[in-house]
Amino acid sequence: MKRKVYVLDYELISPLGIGNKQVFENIKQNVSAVNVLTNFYTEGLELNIGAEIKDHLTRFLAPDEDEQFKEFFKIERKFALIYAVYQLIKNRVLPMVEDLDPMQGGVVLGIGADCGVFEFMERYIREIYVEREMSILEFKNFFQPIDIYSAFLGMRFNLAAFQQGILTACAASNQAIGWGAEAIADGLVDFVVTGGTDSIINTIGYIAFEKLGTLAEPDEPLANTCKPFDINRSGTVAAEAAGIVVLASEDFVREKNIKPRFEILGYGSSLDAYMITAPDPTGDGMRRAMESALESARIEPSQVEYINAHGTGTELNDVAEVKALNDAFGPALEKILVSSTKDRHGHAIAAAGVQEFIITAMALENSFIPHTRNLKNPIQDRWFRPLMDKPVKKQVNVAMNCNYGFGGVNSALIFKRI
Amino acid sequence: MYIEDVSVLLPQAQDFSEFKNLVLKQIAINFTPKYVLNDYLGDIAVPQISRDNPYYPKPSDLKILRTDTIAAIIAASRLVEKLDFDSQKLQQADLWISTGNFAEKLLDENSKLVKYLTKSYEIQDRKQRLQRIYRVIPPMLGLNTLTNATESYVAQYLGIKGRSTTVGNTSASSFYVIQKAISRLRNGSLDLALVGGSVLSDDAELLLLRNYLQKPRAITGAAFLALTSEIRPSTKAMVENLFSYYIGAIKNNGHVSISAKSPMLIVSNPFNFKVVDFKPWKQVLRLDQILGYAGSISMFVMIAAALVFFEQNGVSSVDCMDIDPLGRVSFLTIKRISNEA
Repeated sequence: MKRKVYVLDYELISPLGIGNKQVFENIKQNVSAVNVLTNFYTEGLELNIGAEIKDHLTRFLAPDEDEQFKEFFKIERKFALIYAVYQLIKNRVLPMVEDLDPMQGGVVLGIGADCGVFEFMERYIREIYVEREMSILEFKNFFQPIDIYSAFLGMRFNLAAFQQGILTACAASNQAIGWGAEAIADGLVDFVVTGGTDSIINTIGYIAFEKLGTLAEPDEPLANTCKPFDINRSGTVAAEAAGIVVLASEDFVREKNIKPRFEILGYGSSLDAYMITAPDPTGDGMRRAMESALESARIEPSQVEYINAHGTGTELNDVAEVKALNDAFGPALEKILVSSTKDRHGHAIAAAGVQEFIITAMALENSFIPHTRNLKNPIQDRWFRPLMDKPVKKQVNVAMNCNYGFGGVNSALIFKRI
Repeated sequence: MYIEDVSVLLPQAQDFSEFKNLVLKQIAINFTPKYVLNDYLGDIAVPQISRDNPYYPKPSDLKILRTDTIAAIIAASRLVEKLDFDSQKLQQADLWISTGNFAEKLLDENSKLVKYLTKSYEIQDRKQRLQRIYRVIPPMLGLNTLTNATESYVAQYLGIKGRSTTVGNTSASSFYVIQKAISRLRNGSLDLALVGGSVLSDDAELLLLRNYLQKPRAITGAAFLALTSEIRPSTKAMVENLFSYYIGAIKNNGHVSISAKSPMLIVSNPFNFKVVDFKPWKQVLRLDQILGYAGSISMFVMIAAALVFFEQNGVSSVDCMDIDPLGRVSFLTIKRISNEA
């Protein structure tokens, strides 16, 4: 990174809890949020397992909120999630941006399109095609609302230089944090609100994912369904989450006299250029993203102490990722703590990156590195020794968070505890 | 930073020479009105792409590909062929993509899925209704609506493996990706970046635009730029004066006053023109009057139009400005580089 980039704060809403404290307490207690879905009707579906946030979040909706945002909150889960995170963190962020030049601040979020308009479809169809009413058009400004999420945060925090959505599926919010960090490193801005939001906990999104063959067969108990890096893995678990990470430059931190919590050391991304439906089985693209992050961080592989891997529990991802880890880190991998936390909170697609970045940050701050909860029989490949059976309680300072998206989009972020 | 070349695939402008004809003669493309249940949505134009096109995707990919992504593969392939970069440089290039909506033909009244879903509301039994919905959801729906389809397919077809992302979904996205590529080129991280994207217009896009425009016109298409860190004999132009800012919601009374960097200004979208002061420019071209709303490829087609004017005598510098529906202003200047330079 050309200029230093610091993490000042973060906040998370996850199936493991509302807010950082609850999420990490459940990580420490080895809780899994995977269970039968209840947020939408699933009776009769062959698969009805997921990790959902069992909370409608309506208590976060400010009574004096703009009517359009109130309505959007009610009909659009991704917006409700990021809105709730905003409410949790706003009193900590607003004092930071009080006298910031709006052109020195930006917003970049990883956003899941789910299945595009289908989240709106039930209401759209009912009103336009069945009841023959056009009242849905009152909400048409939110139709395909990908830019609305970042614009909302931009308006509330008065950050005007950019407000954008990154749309790279499961890599999206890790890439958003990387983009935000590089915007500061390159001198474009001094302050960035980043993160992401996504949910596939709805009828059409869930069925569409199930039909792609990516979801795991239920296991007994259900909490054991998702098994990242296990030779008996059968798939991932649908989920939802949202998180915000606050980044700032060294100048900003000095001027405001704020003590930063982490430094972003490096970021890398790459393309598989292989095929849309599967990752490159050699793990070449993933490896290049990791190596690019290491190069950008200007550190040796052995300096990374913990890797929060993508580890989805799908056949194709996990085997390719293990190859990539071996190829990128070599023998140093043997001594690095590696785990995936998706077996506990499921796969939040575009919000996976921010969720796992924040869990990793909390792991470093609490000197508590979570193991892969459901891993019993790991993939055997060279220096890969995933953390299993129990967590490691020790001080760890440098970590890497990896996420890869459908279509072969890869990302890796390296950061250091201060 | 330098613009090596551009490539476009738009309705009635399948390549740059046809685009040049539209721009110079200021011929508006032909739009077709779209309706939902007799309610006028707007006008739409989609390119008719021949399957004989040498860059047309493989039949096995057509189950997933949308029209905008097909256009992007062809436009990007043509550009790469013209570039004459070795395959290693291309493989290491960055790929920054701007893209729009992803719901092609899914909301259309004739959509099979919509019809089945509509019928499902007549079923009182929730379990039966859910089973019906399950049956009618296409197995490839998740991939048909994949937000990074353009990025992934262009990478796959051209073998690009460098840094990348997809930014969505209004015209501002096309500026952000150019800004990102230039930032990377400037700090010496790379030599070549492909920057471009696709826009998809359908009922969903028109519904969105109706909030801002009385008679929205929107297109499907794709456009790409090749940006380089070093000037070459074939380099067409350079990019300067990039900035963007947010002026608030479209309905606010903010006023956009920017000093001219060139005698000519190109604007691509019909939003907020009442709040822009055009006096600083001697000549203003409203590209939206030719192309309609170009959405997520707006900045790329403005740059392509600038290159058209560079081929005319006397034009050596063009400003490009965009205001998106959310009130985000983007601005840059394109300067001609003559072959003698």
